[in-house]
Amino acid sequence: MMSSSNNNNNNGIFINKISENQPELQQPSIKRQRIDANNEQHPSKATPTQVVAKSLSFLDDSGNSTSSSSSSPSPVNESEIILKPEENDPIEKDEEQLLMSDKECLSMFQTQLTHNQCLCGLSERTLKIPFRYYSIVKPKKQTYNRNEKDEIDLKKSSDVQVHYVKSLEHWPEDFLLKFLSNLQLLFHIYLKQNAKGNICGKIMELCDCLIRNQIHIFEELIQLCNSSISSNFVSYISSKIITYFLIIIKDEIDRKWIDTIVDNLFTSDHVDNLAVKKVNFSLDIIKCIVEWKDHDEHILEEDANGFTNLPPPPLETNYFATLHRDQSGPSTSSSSSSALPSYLTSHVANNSGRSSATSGHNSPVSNGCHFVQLTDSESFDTAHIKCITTKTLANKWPALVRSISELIMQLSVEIPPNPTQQQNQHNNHRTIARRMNFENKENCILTFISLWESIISVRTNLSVVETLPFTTHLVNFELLLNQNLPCTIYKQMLQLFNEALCYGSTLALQDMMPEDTCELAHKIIRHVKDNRILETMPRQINSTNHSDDNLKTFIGLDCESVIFSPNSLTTQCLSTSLNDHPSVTFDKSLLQKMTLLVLKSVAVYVKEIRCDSSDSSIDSSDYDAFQDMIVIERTIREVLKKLESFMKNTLEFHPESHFSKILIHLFDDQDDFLIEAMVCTLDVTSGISFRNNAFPELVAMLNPVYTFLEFLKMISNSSDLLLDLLVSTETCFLLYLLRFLKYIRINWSMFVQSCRDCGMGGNVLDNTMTVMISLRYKIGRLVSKSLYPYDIAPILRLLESCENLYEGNELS
Amino acid sequence: MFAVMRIDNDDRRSDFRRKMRPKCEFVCKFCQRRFTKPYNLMIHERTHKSPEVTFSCEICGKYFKRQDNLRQHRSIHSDSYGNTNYNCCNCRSY
Repeated sequence: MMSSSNNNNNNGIFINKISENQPELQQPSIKRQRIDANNEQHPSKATPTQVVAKSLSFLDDSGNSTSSSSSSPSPVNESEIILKPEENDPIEKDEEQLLMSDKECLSMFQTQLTHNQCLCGLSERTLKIPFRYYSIVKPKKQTYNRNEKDEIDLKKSSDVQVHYVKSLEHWPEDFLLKFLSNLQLLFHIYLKQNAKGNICGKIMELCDCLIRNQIHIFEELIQLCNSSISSNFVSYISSKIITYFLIIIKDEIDRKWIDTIVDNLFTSDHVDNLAVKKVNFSLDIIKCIVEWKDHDEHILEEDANGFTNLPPPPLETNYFATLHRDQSGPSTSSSSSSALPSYLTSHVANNSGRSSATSGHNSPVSNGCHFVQLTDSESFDTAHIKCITTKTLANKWPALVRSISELIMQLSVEIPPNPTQQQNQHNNHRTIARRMNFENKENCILTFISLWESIISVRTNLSVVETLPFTTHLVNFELLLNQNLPCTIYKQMLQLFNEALCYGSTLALQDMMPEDTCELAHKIIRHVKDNRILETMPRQINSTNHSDDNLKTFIGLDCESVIFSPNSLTTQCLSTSLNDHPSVTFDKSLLQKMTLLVLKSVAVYVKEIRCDSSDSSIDSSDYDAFQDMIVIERTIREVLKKLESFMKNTLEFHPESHFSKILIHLFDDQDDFLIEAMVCTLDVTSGISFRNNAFPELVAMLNPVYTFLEFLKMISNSSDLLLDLLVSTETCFLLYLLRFLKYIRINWSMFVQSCRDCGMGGNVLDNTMTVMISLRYKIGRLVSKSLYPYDIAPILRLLESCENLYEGNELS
Repeated sequence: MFAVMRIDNDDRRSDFRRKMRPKCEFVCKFCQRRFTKPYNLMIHERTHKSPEVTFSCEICGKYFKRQDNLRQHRSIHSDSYGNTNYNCCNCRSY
């Protein structure tokens, strides 16, 4: 009890306390440091207004904050909390850390969080410094004398008046950004540890405390970002903080938060800069929530943890550990919870319901980290908040699609302003403003499309029922794909449609495909067939030739290219020389996305027909079905021919080269795209040739054996790589191998013949079978040690039967 | 007349087909999509990167995609004498 009251008194203005304690200080070096730092921070001490630090921003209990006797009625009455400075505190726990400057405290807070992922052992003050209010200190009278000693700075509280600016919008931007960054860092570490199940107790308490006591900060942040005054930096970091905040409170989330954010998308009917900014802010938050991964560990992180993190310092020399032990020594006698900062004790007491999860508090921990093991499995799960968010959003989605579509159409009509066209000063200002406006719109559209992509993505793990309202509008959205769009948006849209046609992960495995998806595939096929979508794709500009509308740079806006010459930097365009050779190329990633989209659409189309006809073949006449298939095959062949000749032209292939060569070449840096494209061509071939190999032309064009052989050549026959592809979940190689082995088992003679045709000297069949046998051995070894992560038996069986066919083939 | 009947027939037939389809379906536990073959469902579920597919260390709870990587990782928890070391690489607590 006594210690807690002491702690309450500790809530005084620390700077005053420090100056009072200074005569008795034993460590001059630290004192010097502090003074130096103070000098740095307040270079303008002579000015009447100065800025000092104030801790305690999150102390909301007004009971704790007693008004200082010295403070007179101030002009800024509401935004002021003045606490009684501590007169004489017998137990000076935080003495050493008190001597540190604010800057040191801040950097200690940050390094502790980022390096050690733990806040234990830090003083109350150090924890408060990062989250203090912005404050202004004005000298009350003219008694302030600069010419005395440096220690005078804030010696007597009666000399100064401190104004605490409570509303965030009045804070200077750099201070606000620092505050928000600290908040974001804390939340980030908290969520990371939460997902792993082990949290540093202090981090958890600090977070809980901030969220429970300072909920108005988050409301204020939303308001701030909706006003015109906030900068892009503030909006960005605020959206992160709001997301973290919503995820942290996910269990007891109030629907009004989500409603506010979603309603934000529709607050104004006039599309101006501010409205676009607001929409973008809300979209950012929703996107972060939807994309949130509960177990998100980067592949490289496990290596990084092993090497870059230093081993923990031994306890004897660990400053924080020894300090913490000293602190907790006397306090354990008075109260068990006194090791916690006072502002937390009440909270912990209230929160006894959670004590089972936080039982780690009282257990003595040797190196100072009150390590809390979370046993509650619910705390890992963000499915609930994702569900609420998508449900709220689903109702408004059609309206949002409509307004964004309008924005896209506006943008495709609008010519992006070119900043380099030098006009008079006044015009230039307007151009810059228009350009900013254009960029904001573009950014907003991009955020919207990528949010859409995240929602419908299989990897987001949302239920298909929840995502249904979002897939229905894709078909009309596809109409917007036109050559006047900025390339960034065009590319993002292709990515969205690719995600919707989730062939390798889902559609290829299902018997019945959703109608919306089929409709989208039809539309894309028609677009390729009739509307020359391939030819009108935006192209990359390598010269400054602006005559062609199709030419766009891929940084988003049309810009004058800067030409570096040895002596001077010049933006002079060399159009006369470059126009002779207008080297126009397509962006490779755009090409990849478009090719994959067309291949997937064709595969979905074939699969849909296949599903229908295989069922109806029982009673309908075979002749009708065959006639249908002829028409379908002609369509598919036409589309694929267009795609092939287009790719040959763009990638400068010989007109006679086989489709498989182009495919492997185009996707050589994207294994997931490549393998999905391989699944598509294989499925189209086997789907179309299900009755007596009726369409030899199409089969010859897509020959899946050639594709597989090209693929093996690219990976230089490495069975290790094949094994890695099989085990990882990043590509659909398991599906591909399964279907390919089935295909060659049925069409063995065709496989052998294709190998023979492909062979340039060496025996391709033998080499291929060697890779497959070696793969089978490797899988078999892992399975026998029960190290294989899933049931691989079907693949093993198929590999064996192919081997048998191979051996039988050799004998004959 | 035949054509009219055929359209009618087609509608009814597809209705019928939908109803009479054997209901041995396998439902994805992440997205509730339906599959008719269990192996297809397994292939699909791998896309969701389910936590069951990954392997977690029983000492520090770290997740791994492959079990041999986990085995390699486990060695950091034991010293050269084979004693288990409960030092957690994340929070430095014992």
